[in-house]
Amino acid sequence: MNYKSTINNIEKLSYDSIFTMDDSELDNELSSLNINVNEKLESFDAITSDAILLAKKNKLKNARLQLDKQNKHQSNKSKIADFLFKKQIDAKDYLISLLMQGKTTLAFRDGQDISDEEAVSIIDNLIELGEVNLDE
Amino acid sequence: MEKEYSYYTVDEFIIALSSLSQSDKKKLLLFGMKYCRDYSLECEGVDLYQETITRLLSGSRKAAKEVAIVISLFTAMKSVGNSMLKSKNQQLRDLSTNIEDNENFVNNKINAEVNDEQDDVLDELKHQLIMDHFGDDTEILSMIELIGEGVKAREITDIMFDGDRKRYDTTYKRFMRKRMHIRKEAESI
Repeated sequence: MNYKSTINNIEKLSYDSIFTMDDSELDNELSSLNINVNEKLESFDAITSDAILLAKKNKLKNARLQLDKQNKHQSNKSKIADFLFKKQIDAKDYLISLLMQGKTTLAFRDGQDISDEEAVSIIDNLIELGEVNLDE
Repeated sequence: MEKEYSYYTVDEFIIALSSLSQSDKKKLLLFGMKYCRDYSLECEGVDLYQETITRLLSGSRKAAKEVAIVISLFTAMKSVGNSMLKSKNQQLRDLSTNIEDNENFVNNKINAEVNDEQDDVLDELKHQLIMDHFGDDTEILSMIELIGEGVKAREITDIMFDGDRKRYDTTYKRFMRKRMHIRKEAESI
């Protein structure tokens, strides 16, 4: 027996027909279920409102996390600039020193040409990863 | 050529949801309740709706803008219901094979990853669950068989009821509603 087409045909008749019913047919079918229809419809509305509220809260939470992350990166970059100024070296030189200590094998890509901005970002990532601590 | 769809963002979907009419909600409620009762799922139609709306609003499932929102919700609810049924069936299979033979259990786990095969198992299970509702009613069993073969209402009326549409309607209504009564009886035990 081809169950796939059998079930497809049964479900088409049972379920698709619901979506062509008019209001009185729907009311008839629902009343045959012996349920409190209004109560169930109110549950639908409550579920929808709660889910929308949760989605909005999550969106706000994600936006805040994103902002916190951006602020943290910004603060790290200022810290890196101060650190490099005090040490009187540029970002690439600092990365080379980290390479010598074996902390940038992946990040620094064997000394390939990179911009200062990229070098600062790599240092920022290394701080995030806990490989580098500028306060030490 | 396959039709290309554009999808609602979560914000757009929230706006689209507000266009659901009271009739639309009744349709989704009726579908959800029928689906759960047809396949003896231990949940109610509103639970299917809740899971569906959660998936759509978290962005893990998307709704196409070209499809009426009520139809998108219907297909998503059906898909959630199918997943629940598959998972319930797999749990039962795992439980029985675990007792019988551990090697079979492992094989079943591997097989479960083959979606096509799992869909076939799901359809067979659905068929069995529907037939189980009507074990003693040969008239309805014949009707289900014809519906399953894709025979149209008019032809079923001719084949089974000598063209008497009223008898077809009565039997069809029995087919649609008896499942609900059986479920109610089961709940009251």
